[in-house]
Amino acid sequence: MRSSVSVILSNPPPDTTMSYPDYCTNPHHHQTLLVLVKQVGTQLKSRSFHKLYERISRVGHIKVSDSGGSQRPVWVTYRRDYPVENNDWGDFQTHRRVLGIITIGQVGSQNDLNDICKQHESLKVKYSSTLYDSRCIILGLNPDGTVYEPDSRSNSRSGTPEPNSHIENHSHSSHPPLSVNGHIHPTHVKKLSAGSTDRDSGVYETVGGEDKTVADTDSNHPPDSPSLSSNDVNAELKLDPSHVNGSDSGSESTSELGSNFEEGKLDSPRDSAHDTSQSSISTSTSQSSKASLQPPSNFKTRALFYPTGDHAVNIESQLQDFISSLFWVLESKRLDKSQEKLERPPLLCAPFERKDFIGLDLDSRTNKKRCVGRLKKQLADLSLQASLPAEAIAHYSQAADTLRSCNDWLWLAACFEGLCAASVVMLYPNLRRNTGLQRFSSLGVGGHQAGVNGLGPRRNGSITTNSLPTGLDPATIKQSTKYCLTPDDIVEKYREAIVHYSKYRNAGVVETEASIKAVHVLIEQKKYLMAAEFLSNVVFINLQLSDEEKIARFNALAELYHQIGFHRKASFFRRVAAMRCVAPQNQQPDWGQCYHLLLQTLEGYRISLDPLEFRQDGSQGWPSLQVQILQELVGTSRRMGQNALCTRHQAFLVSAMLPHLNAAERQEMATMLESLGARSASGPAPLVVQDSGIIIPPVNIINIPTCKSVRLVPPTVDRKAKSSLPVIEEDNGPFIFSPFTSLSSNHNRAQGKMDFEWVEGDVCEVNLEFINPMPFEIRITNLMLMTEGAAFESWTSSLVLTASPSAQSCTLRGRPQAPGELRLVGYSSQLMGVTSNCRFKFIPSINKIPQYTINIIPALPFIQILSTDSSSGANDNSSVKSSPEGSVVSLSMSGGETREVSVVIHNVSSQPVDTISLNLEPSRGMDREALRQVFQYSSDNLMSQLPIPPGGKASLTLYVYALGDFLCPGRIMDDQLESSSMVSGSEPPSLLSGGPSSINSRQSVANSSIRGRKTHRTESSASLMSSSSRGSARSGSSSSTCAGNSSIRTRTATPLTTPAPTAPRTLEANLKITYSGGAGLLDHQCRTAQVSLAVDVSASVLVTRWDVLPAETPHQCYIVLDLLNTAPHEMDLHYTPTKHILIEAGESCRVPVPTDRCPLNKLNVEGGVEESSCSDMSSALGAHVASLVELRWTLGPEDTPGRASLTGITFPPHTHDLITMAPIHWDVKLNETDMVGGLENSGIVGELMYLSVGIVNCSGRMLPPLSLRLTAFQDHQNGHLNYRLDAKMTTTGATKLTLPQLNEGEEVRHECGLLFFTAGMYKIEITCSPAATAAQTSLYENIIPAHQHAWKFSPPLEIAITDI
Amino acid sequence: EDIAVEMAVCVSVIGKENSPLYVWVGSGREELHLHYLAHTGLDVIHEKVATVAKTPGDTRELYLGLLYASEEYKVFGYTTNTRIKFVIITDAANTSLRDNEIRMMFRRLHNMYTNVVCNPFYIPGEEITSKEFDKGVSALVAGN
Repeated sequence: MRSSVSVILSNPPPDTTMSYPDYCTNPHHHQTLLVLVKQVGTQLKSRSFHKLYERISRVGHIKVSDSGGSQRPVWVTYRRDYPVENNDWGDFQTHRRVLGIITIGQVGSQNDLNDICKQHESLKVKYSSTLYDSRCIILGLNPDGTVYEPDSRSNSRSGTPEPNSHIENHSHSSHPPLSVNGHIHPTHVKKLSAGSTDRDSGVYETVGGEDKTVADTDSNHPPDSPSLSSNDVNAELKLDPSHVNGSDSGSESTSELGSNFEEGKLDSPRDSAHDTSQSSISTSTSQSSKASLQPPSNFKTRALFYPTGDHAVNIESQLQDFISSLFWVLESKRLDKSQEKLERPPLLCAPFERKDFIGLDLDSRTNKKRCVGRLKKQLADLSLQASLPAEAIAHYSQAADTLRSCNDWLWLAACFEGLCAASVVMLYPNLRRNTGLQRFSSLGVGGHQAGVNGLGPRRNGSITTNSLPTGLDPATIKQSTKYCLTPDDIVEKYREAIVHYSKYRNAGVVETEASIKAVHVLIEQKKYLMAAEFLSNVVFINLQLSDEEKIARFNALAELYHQIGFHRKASFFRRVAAMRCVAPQNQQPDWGQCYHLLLQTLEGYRISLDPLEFRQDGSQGWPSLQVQILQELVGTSRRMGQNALCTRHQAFLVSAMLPHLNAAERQEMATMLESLGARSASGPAPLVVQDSGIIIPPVNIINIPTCKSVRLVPPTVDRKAKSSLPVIEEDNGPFIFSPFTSLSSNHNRAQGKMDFEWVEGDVCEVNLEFINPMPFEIRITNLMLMTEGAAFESWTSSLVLTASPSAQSCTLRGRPQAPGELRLVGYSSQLMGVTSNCRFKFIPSINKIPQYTINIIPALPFIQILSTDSSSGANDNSSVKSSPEGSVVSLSMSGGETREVSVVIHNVSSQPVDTISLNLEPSRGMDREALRQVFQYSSDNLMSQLPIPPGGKASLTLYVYALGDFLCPGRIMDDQLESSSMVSGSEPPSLLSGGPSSINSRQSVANSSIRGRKTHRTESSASLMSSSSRGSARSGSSSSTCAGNSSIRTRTATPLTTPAPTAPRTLEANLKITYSGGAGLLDHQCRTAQVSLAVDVSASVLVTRWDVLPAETPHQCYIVLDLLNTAPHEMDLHYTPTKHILIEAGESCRVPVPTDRCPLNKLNVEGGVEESSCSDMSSALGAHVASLVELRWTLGPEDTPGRASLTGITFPPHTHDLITMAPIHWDVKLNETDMVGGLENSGIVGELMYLSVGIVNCSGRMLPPLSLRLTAFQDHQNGHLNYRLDAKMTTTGATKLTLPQLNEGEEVRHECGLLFFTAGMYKIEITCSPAATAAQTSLYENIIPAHQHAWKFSPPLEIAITDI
Repeated sequence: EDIAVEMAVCVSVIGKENSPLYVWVGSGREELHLHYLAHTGLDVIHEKVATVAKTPGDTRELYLGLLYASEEYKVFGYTTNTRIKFVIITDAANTSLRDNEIRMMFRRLHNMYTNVVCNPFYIPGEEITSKEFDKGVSALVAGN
């Protein structure tokens, strides 16, 4: 297409070249009349101008009935700026001629008016070569020419005076003077109408003067205009003041009657000319007394006066009139040209051609042909403008034939272009649609560049069909018009034309425009590839353009590429245009425009500035180019001084392009973002670009750091609330397995519904895990949770993430402020100056759960447990640790110690504690019985302290007893038990001191044999002396005699006798404090605090052995205990209320504890006869002893008190009789004196003493027959007992008898006399044994066989006999 | 002079979603500029494929020919049946290259790409990081 001959054929461009192309040109422009609309003067605000211009532009099409009666559509192109150079090409293509001028100005004074008139006139001169007519719209003047006061606007709006005048006017004329009348002096019009043959001659009238100049200056124009006929009235065209006034009043009437116009009372504007006389009548009445402004005398234009733009209600009708006036001039010219046959046709030239023809032979045949061809071509142009496309096509074809034959390539190309235009007008009438709209769009460069805001039809837009009217297809059009081109031909002709144009350097603009027109046609034909070819040709056209024009050019190209769907190419050119704006050689870089252009490139690079949208199709686009564009956006916005935008873009760059950046780039860009963010932070709100309304969406950096997991932390055990209502078990019916229901229930859980609750007013935590994608440490501040639903107070925190690929966790906290459902939807953070709201649903790694829902229950009080060991203030061996699982009170006590622990309940919340309940639960195998012994408290005391106000305290005293196992474990009385068993017997120890006593021994052996040890029994029964196996025991027994019953032996501990120290024992229990209060109480919620009680019991005293000895009194016995002090301190042990002993640490001692014997009725077993009940018996006796014996002591430096009971002690069977009370009660009297407690009696030799023995059954049941025996003996105090007293005494009465069966409480009495022969000490033993056994009395009469109980009166009766 | 002997100045493989999978740019060339050229070539490829696809039935010609030419470079296109596009940019001054040679280059490139896809560790749509492919492209542009 491109021809290299262009340079050769073209001369260097003078000013004959068109200054710049019209990038929104369109084939239909060939059909339109060009009208220049200009703002004049300095007073008019550009906004008012635009408003008016917009209204004017809407009148782009009127219909005119031609002389033949057919309707002719007339199309207008309005331009706000048009270079005169382009106007000079009007001969070449007549649609380039400016045919009309409309100026708009605002006046406030006469000077303004003069100025405007002057400017208008100079414009007219500027375009005088082509101008047909002009109008001057002047705002700020009342119709009468007086200056409009803005204050009166309200009046005029309310319309009180003006409707009157309107009515007045209306009454004057049935045909309201609608249009032109006001501006022309009435007489003037009359004269015109008189002088003109044309109905519209009045229109021409004002331009008469101009036409005259045209005729003078433009030799090419034959004086063909009918307006010349009005030359004779030119002299009278002067407007005198009164005329102006008159016309102004007329103007007022028109402006008011605009409403009539709209109401449909429109008359043909042409009629109005005839009515002007009437309106002039009305004007005379409305002479204004105000000083009115007067246009200068050389102002020869129709002026339209309006107070404001809003008052110009009739402007559309004025325009219609104006356009039709232009049309008629054009039509007449066309007619003239079509009819005239010139001898010497003038040579029409493109501006640059003129000097080429200098010196050529203009009379040559070729030249003549050329002239004719060119003239024909111009006629075709005019025909097309005059809405006769079919005619135009015919003329173009003829002209083309002619011009081709004379090798006039330039004009041939113009012919082809015209031919194409005419065909397009017929084939694609809708193609014009995009032009009207695009014309308004402007970037402020020049007056007319391609609409970049994309109002033109998009390729995928609504225009998808050919723009041919429905029901009309190209074939029929072609038939109707012989030479109409086919769609393909149009493209071909355009191509040909462009090739020819390209031969001329000066025709660059024309070539460019032709290409653009071709592109429009191709878009219409959906031949986008071919359109791209034409467009790429445009790029090659070498034009001398300013920077501004180059930018406009690239922009226009971009827009066209956009229209053909080449978005990438469009963006490429848009970016080129943007870079041009700020090119280094550009003297005045325009960063703002560059920025706007760059924003428009984003689509082509598949960048959406909304990160969410961008990520969704993140795999698209070309990352390296995207990074480049974004960097340019950042740089441009920074140069614009828009720091907020700059930060926003950089944040987007870092966040969205992160996957495509390497480590170094990440570092670099993040550093830059940090410095930008320091200057202007970026928040989560959208930004609006100044002056354009473009919204830059917020950038939430959700991938730096990348959140990997979210976990809501359930409240700790002590903060956990539970319902105080009893849990109602839901009756789910029988269990039926169904995979579907289980799936659905899992589904519910997956939606982030938490199965625990948070409590209002509590600090709640959420754990987040982050991954830092950056190769350096990042610092996140103001990290906090984002919630919806119930009010929640989020607390900010800061986080530093090291450069590590592993996840790092952090905890965010907050406090619910109200009960209800809380939804956790994300978190917000601040990183490098960018505040981001990161919603979980947008974070790909965790968006499976878009929000977490948790129930917030009403506020509950919260207590802390403090405790003090109140019993021993300075003691540090108790400690309280508070942990979420509960407080732990640990005490370290020695066994048997008692302490008071004060548990202080501190209400640390803002809610009162209204209810509280205590529950002590054992733990670690502690039984409830022991629990009761160890821990005791008074809950009533605590209840009385309720409610506990916020911040208040209540205390609960806990009595802790260090329950120890004081009995030597696993050691009950056994064989190793030494001498104590020897002394077991019913005799008090004092009797033992009398030395070996056979009776004593025998009895002891008999008693011990009850244990059921056969061997022992036979042995003892055989020898009768308990000597064989217990020699040592015996000696021990003898050694103990010296001490007497109150003597205490201490022994050094020996390995044999000291048991291994037992390990410290720990007593544990949990005190559960369930409490509630405040709002939560009403909601039936409560909390539980737990106090773990742990008592470490260290050993204190240990009973290593024990035994029973008979006591001096029959109702008591001695419990003999071997006590081992296992504590590390000296111990002062009180074993009875009055007796105490010091035991060194680690030493052991033996103490007798006098104890009341156990009454028989406390025992359920019968006398311990049956062996099977032996163990029951022993434990029952143990319990009896334990209830009576309590050891108390003070220990260590602080004299820590302690006490121990012998709980759990058991006694072997042979001791049972010692512990249990005898079933009988002795009532012994000697000489009528009660014998109690070893009284010494005295008697005289030979004097009879009366002994009365009474036996009372106090066993609680009936006793079998008993045999009573009285035995006298002498104790020699050397261990020898002499029973052979036959020579020393005698008795009267029976000494051996059987008592009858005794019922409960029954008494039997036996009396006898004692007579002593010699003085001395005598003792009498009174024994009672079951009668059945007495019958089996063996060899020795006083020996009771085994298995038998015997009850003795103890101590034996002692009688001292003296000689006179 | 080194540049002159190279058959192409830019070889790019472009994925289904029109993002680059592999771009090789001759040393000493303006990398970004060539990226822009290859990128804008996609417009033409898209249009060519769209228009050809309207006539179903016969197998489509994979070689798309010259996409467009700038003053310095010529941009050629090729598309596979899986919508992977190859764009080769040659120096406009390199007149020795004929259409047939360009065609052969594309065919070789296509084979190399097939080998890449045959690698079970390559996920289609990911950027190509194969050394083998690197070598292949080097050999391709070196003309041997």
